[in-house]
Amino acid sequence: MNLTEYTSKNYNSLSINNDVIELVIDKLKKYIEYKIPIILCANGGSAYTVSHFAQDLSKVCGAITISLPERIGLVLAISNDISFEEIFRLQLKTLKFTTGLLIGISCSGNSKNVINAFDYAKSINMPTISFTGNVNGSWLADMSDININIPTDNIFVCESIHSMITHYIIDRLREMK
Amino acid sequence: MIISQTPLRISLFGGGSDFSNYFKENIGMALATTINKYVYVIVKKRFDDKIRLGYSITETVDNANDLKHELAREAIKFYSINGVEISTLADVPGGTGLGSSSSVTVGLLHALKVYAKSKLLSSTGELALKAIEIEKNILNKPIGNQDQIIATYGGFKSIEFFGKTSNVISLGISPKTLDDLDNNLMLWYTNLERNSSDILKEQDDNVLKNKDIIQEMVKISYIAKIELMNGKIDTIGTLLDESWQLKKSLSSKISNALIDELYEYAISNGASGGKISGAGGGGFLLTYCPLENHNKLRLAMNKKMIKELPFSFESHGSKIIFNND
Repeated sequence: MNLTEYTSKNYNSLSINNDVIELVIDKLKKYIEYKIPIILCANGGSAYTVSHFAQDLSKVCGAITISLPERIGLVLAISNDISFEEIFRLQLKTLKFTTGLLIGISCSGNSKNVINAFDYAKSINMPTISFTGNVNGSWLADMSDININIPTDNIFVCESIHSMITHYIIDRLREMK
Repeated sequence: MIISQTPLRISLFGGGSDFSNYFKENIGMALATTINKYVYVIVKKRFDDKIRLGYSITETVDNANDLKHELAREAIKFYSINGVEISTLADVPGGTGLGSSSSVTVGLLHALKVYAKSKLLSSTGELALKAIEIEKNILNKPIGNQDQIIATYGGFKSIEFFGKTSNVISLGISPKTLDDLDNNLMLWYTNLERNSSDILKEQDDNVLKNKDIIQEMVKISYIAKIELMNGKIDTIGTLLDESWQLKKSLSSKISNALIDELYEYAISNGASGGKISGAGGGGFLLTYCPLENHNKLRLAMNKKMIKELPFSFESHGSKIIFNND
């Protein structure tokens, strides 16, 4: 199919829960205002989505952000010495923040290293927001305080829509300043 | 309709140290992995308020309390559900030492949770704990805690038990080491059936009497863990054998003449060690066999008409694989 048909098939018919996105925008606005750190984690292409989101949050909205996949030394060291499933949880533990907001992206919703980080955040009462893309539901979606799920089985569509949503959020936060 | 897929498991080392009577005051550690054989639980809305549950028989009741299937009864009551049809399917029959009873509990709780759109049990840890609570505290089954934990979390894990807590630890074992280990492990059906409850009850009753033996088995568990983290699998066979000899001494019901004979036969045809998976007394025999002896062992077992269950390690725990609600 050509690009027009592709966008028509994959993007036009996806229903996104606007109320949930409002909740996310609300929470972010508050946390930025109170200068509370926002910590992000994801794997693969989504790692770039969270890094991009972190960069926009910082530059455009003045937020304090830490994108965990970017701390590549730590990611490789933990992966090599301990386990790939601990790369985000252990980083979160060693950051020792008393307050913060954890944002995670996992298209499957079942990425262990993101789930482990969310598990830890739960144990220290840190609020969590997740972006997922699973038609059947997922562990990450259930565990998060707020979840944005794009019900698709196409990972490229999922990643693109996540990216589009983060840009939308930045646009909204920008006009609220 | 919701379908959950929950893997079965093989426990390599440390089984018996996951009984709460033991780890109340001693450190227990189990090394276990989920495999690519599954139980499926299907949950579907009914047009009326009855509950219909299908397994080896079919029960149709007005109220969850009237169900004879204890596991299902408690899980359905927990979510206060009415008006459902529930079915279970499995790749391998239960009662064979692959942890299917706990996988069914976990799979059922998981499917019901998603069906009920419930906020309860929202994390893997909470689901595992609930499964343990139902099987042990409510149904008083004499089992350890590792099965429910590994079925929920999935993958090759070290699970440490002490006091009131269990810790699920992901080990930094390289994918190649896991792959090689996977290839060298084989499951053989002994053709012997057994009721695990009797064997486990005797183990549970004798935990304190057997404390020293279980501690030795935990030590072996830690040795195996370090070997694997260092990329070494050659010693796993001998470690399995050492552990199996110790395990047999916990209860007379764990092994018998037929099992011992089959075990010796496997050893003399290339395996370097093994164990009966699960409680013992029958079910599947797990063997470790170095690559160069694979053909020899397979031919020998074939000659004795002992069927192999081909499998590989599964890295995921319980998952929802279908949801059109």
